[in-house]
Amino acid sequence: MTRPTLQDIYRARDLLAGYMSPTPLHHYPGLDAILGSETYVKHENHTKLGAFKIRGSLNIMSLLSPEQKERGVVLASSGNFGQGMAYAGRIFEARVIVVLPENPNPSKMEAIKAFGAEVVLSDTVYDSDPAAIREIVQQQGCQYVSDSTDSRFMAGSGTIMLEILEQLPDVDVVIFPVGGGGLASAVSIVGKGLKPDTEVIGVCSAQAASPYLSWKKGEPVESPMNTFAEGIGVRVTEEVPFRIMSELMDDFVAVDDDEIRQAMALMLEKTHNLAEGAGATPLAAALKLKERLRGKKVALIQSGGNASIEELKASLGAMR
Amino acid sequence: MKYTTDIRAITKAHGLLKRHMSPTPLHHYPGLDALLGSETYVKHENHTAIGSFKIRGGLNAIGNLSPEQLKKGVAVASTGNFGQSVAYASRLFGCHAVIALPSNPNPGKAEAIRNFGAELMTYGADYDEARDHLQTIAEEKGYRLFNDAEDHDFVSGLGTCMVEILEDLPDAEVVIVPIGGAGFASSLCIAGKAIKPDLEIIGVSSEAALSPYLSWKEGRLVDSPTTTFAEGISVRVSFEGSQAVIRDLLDDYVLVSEEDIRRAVVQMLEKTHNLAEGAGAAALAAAEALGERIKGRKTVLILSGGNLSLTHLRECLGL
Repeated sequence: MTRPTLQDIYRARDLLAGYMSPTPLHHYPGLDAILGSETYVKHENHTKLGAFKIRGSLNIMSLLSPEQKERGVVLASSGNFGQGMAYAGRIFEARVIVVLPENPNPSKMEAIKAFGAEVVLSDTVYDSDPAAIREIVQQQGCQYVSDSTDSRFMAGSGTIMLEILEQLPDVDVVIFPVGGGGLASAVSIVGKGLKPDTEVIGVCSAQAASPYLSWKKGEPVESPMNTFAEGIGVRVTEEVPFRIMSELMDDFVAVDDDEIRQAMALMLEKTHNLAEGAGATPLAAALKLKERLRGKKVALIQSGGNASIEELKASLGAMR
Repeated sequence: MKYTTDIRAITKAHGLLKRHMSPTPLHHYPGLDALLGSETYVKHENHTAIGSFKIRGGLNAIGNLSPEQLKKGVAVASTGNFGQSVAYASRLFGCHAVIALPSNPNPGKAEAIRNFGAELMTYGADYDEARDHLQTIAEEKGYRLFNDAEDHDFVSGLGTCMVEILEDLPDAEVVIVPIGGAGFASSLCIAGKAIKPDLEIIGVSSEAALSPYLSWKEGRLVDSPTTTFAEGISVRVSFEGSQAVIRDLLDDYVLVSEEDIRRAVVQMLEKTHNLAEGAGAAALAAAEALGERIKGRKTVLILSGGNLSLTHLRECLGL
């Protein structure tokens, strides 16, 4: 896999324009008062599926040939990526197979099926090279797609940063969640490509620290995954995003799950938006980096809002 | 003009607003379809810069002021979504805004107003006293005083929400709208019936704030005490300008209980992952009450605003 170029990302923006509006970048004085920065939130939770992954999914689909659409794509994700691909598959009339673990979350499986995607259950999805996916690729000629290594997915995600730079051309700092690293790579490529003095800062959960540890150590490191924040729950860091992040990202912060919960509650209180764990991490990071951000124009990428009621209650319980 | 506004004024406002805010999304939620049996769309007024539909009125009201009036300034007695919409639009158009509150205001609300760059004026024991005082000051200094429910430009701006709905979903069948002061509902009715006369528009209020419902039902202005937690639809008195419109154009009107609204706040969070304030969740509560009547129909719930406090959210969640 290669990394997307700025040209790929501009082309993705043209393709996406037919399917979704730019998401708002709102200024929240209530957050300024706490952080001391001029604070903006990029609302990926306002997209149709409530998460940024709709962008990369639409971009992958739009770049498939008619023949590739017919043979289909296969992926392993019950979360926002799975739903994004299932949704994009319906729009582009492409076959989509989603491999889920045995005993999947029933409501998530229903959502995927409701978009017309096929579901295959296999516990091999937890492996690094799942046998179930290999079989489907080999036997049915499907294309395997991933939200951490696919440059088409990254190109779609990069449109977030194009929008931010149009909405706030003099942004100083952009903070975004890091799981597989696809979003982080894309945002960094656009940020450094168009406005090199923009500080791009990643944040992950300390309970899923592989990307953080890899970035610090200078080589991909595996690390246990215990975070509740599904969107950034990874154990391994892939080579491609690792290299892009190492080269381009200015800083990396790890926050505890408890800090993420507190940030979820603060996001609700000050912006009246529900953030899922991953979507609240940039705010958690901003609270940690407060001194450094003072007086700067800071954009927090609220990557998604798909938190459950239980997670919401837990975040209110974690408030200090 | 027969009413406070008409489709021409709303269309003109639509043109002005396009330059200052993006249309809000109209999203389809299969999770709500399963709950209600309708094809259910939510109009996300909570996604605007101030988290409420009132931004539309503020933008159109301030955006239509003469350069002289912009220079003199505007005044309003409200700390809620109305006051914030005027403060937000005033900053955007470079206009001085004075917001009046009673003495010893809620610190959070006072802070929000100052954050928008407006001047805070505190006076008297309650809003009535603050408003009377503001009127005197406004006359003295030449401020333009805004009254939420009846101002022509403000109300015209609100109807743009319906224009957007019918642009995105031209074959919408039912639209459900929360009613308090009824300025919003009246403007939506005027736009909706002008563009698509067979569109069914249904209002909803809380059983704990009956003035707008009783005024509609009895065909005369009726005052009634309010105890609802849903600030956006908490009114004690109604206004003839808006009531005259909904009396003629609103197809039906349902009442929901405070408990229904609280439950709808939680359902909205669960099914759409959006925080709705009480008024914003009322349309969902009404849709549940309407049951069979909306089955299989393309139904739009207007989520009028998302500015719910954590205290009220905790109550809704039973925490």
